[in-house]
Amino acid sequence: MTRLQKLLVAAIALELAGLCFWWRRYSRPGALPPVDWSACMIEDTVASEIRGMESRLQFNDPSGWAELGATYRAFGLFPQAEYCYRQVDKLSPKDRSYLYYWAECADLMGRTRAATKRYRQVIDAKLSVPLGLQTIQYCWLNIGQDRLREENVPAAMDALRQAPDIPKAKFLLARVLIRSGRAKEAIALLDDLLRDSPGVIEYNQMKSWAEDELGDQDAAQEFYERSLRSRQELSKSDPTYQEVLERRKSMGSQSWHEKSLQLETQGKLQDALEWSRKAVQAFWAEDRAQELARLELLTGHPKEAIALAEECVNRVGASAKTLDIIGVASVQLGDRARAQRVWEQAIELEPTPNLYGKLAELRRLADDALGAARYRSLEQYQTGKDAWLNNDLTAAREHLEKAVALYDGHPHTWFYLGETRRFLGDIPGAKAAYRRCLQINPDHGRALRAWERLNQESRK
Amino acid sequence: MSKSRVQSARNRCSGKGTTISLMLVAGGLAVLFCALGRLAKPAPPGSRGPAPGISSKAAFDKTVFSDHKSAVRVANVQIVDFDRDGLNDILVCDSARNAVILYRQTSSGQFTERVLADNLKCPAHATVVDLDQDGDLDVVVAVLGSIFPWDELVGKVVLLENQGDHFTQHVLLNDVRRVADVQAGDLDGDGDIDLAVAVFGYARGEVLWLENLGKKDGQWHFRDHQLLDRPGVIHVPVGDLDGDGDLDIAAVVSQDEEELWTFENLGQGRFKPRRIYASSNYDVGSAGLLMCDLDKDGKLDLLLPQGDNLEDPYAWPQPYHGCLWFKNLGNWRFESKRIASFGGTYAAAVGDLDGDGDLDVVLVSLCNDWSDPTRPSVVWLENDGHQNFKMWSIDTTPIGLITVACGDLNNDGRADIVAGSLILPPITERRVERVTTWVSRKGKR
Repeated sequence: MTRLQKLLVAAIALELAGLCFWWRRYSRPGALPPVDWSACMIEDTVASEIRGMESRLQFNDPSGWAELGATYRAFGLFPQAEYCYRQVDKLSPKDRSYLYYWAECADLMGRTRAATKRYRQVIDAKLSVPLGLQTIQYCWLNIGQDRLREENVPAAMDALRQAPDIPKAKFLLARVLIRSGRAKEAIALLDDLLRDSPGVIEYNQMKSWAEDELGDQDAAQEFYERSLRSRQELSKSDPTYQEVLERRKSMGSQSWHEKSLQLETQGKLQDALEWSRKAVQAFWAEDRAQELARLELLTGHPKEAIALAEECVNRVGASAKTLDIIGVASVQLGDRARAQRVWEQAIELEPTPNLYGKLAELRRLADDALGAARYRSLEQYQTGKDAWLNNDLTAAREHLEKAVALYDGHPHTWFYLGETRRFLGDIPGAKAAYRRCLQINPDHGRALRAWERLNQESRK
Repeated sequence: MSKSRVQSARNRCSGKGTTISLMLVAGGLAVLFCALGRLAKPAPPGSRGPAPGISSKAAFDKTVFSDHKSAVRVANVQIVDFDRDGLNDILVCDSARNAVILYRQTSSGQFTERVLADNLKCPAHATVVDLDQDGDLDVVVAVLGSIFPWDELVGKVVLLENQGDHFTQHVLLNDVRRVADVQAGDLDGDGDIDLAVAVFGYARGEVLWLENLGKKDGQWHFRDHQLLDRPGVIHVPVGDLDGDGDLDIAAVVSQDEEELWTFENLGQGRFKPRRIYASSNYDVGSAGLLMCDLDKDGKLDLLLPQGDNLEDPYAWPQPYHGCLWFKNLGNWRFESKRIASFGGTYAAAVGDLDGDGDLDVVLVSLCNDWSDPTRPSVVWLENDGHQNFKMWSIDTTPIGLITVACGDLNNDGRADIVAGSLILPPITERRVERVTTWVSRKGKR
């Protein structure tokens, strides 16, 4: 063997050793990709829990990688999560739910092609994890949405048709059909959806637009008005998003806040107070501070409650909830004047029946019968409007009639009473209500339109 | 040739063949090794394409306006000479303080704070206009009522009537869903100022115009007229889009519909609606709408920033985020062109940043991969004079920018920039500031 040949053999041996090293290093799970914790926006208590999970990770345990991946994903560390799912894949685990989550990660980073590839794997393997029997159809829904994100409408429609049992897929298909000039087909899908869930805002709204496209203005108006009297929203997030929310609740200082809420329901107020304080100290958030203030109130510390609520106002501005806490605490301290001031401020921000009820009671205690009646009327108006928005027209009429009996100078009360009477078929009553509304406020546009429509109909 | 010589020659050939084979194997393995080495390295987390560079044509001096007391939740910033002293001021809608705040520029270039109005739950936009036509500037405020997505009737339109030393609040519209924008102009040609209103809502929203019926007995009277029912209307810029001398309205509809609408003014309060753009990408995240004559051809164009990704606090930049320019071709025809791809684009502003006479564009990013500290949060698009744009980075902090405006803050003829951040829990307030200005100057060549 010549010297050159010996050298080449040595090189080959070295390269083979390198390949062996590479195989060992990369065919099995390896080191975690780094996270720049100083730059990322995650709260410190959560970051430290994630670091703890990283340090406890067993590199050959697929469930450990999957768990870490799910945690990274819940806190927006998508490339890290994707890396974890790749490691799970190398370990060929029995539980293949990671494929779906892996696809979702790619989706969240806008890599629609990579996501589709993983969803296809789930479909080809006929997996029923993580979403049970509907897993495959959810994959098709997501593939359809990916094609829409690429503005490939025909491919999106094909994919969405593969998910006939998922309402969101059907709804998306209806939307795309309307845009494609096929409103009639869309209406058939929307009718199916409305049969199962007549109170979903988006279904009624979309049907109104579809009817409008077909030129049926009366039907369009009918479904538009139904959409206004609906409160049920179409869920926009994937079913796995609930897992994300639960994971966020279970980590860091948020878990302390959740624990406090739980303890409160068990009546352990002192313990709840301690956990609530700990949560607020770790990371200040308005809902946490409001909860702590409420607990201070419940445990007989109105001054502390006021201090916490005032801090909320200084940090994120006044809200009805915060001002209500100050009002209740002020009453406990005997300062009714302040309570009245803050509750009046609160109804400017977000009127609720509860706030009007409290103000009515304060006016009654101050021997102001007129003022009390006006607030009682507004309390009834808010309750009636709430019922109207929930399409409970009988309850709405009852409260709105009570409201106008107590005080008849509020135009919106008359407007909603007019609307309620109209939907219940009481046209003369509706006209009378609109007329009164327009007497008080001649510029009430919705009342004017309704009044004109009723007059047009009666001329027909 | 003797037998031994032949044998020797054969041996040499065979030795040569072995050597060549060994070389081929070693070489092949080396190539394989390199290829595997590359494959083995997963893309580092947060990796992305090359970041835009820094232009030599413009440099920026940064100033931060912080109060370090309230949360960082600025909804809108504008540059306007509010007191008409020849120096531009900054008008801010601060939804953490529920206030409209004026940062008045003094002759020394300092800014002093004046709260024009408070107890306005989440003011989203303020429009400066002499509504009562008494010679001073009033402010019309779009009040969201809730910073978080909500479908309740909590929105308002509020007029802050300038009384010299104070502003009187008048509620012009209530019992509507979250109001995101209000713009002013004589929409019915009767000489007074009417209003166009964007009701964002959440699942339901609408475009309205409010007919000014004047002020009687100290009360303002406006009659509401509906132009469109769509959820997620963000902005309703007003301008003469068809050059016929009256004011038309444009509207951007986000929230899953992703449409652009125009409303042609037919006179006497009548409008003809047209949908001029509808994206099939319902996740594109339209984030605002700007009316401007970008190519200076005398016709108003539209700029559409896309990148609203607020569905989740930990949202990620998407490849389709950026800015579209809708060139007005006349006769209600618009031609769209993507002028930038920029993750999480939430707002756009227009101005001549490099002083070359054409209009450049500034974009800011709200949701992005902020765990990468090199990622820019504010960029500018240099116009080559023919509406070909090159993106340059301006800054990487503050992050979470939701609003931007351009205007000349130091009277040097170049447009400067002001931007505001909005951060909502559970995201921490690292690397954010309420309001930041970048004053432009000539760059180092």
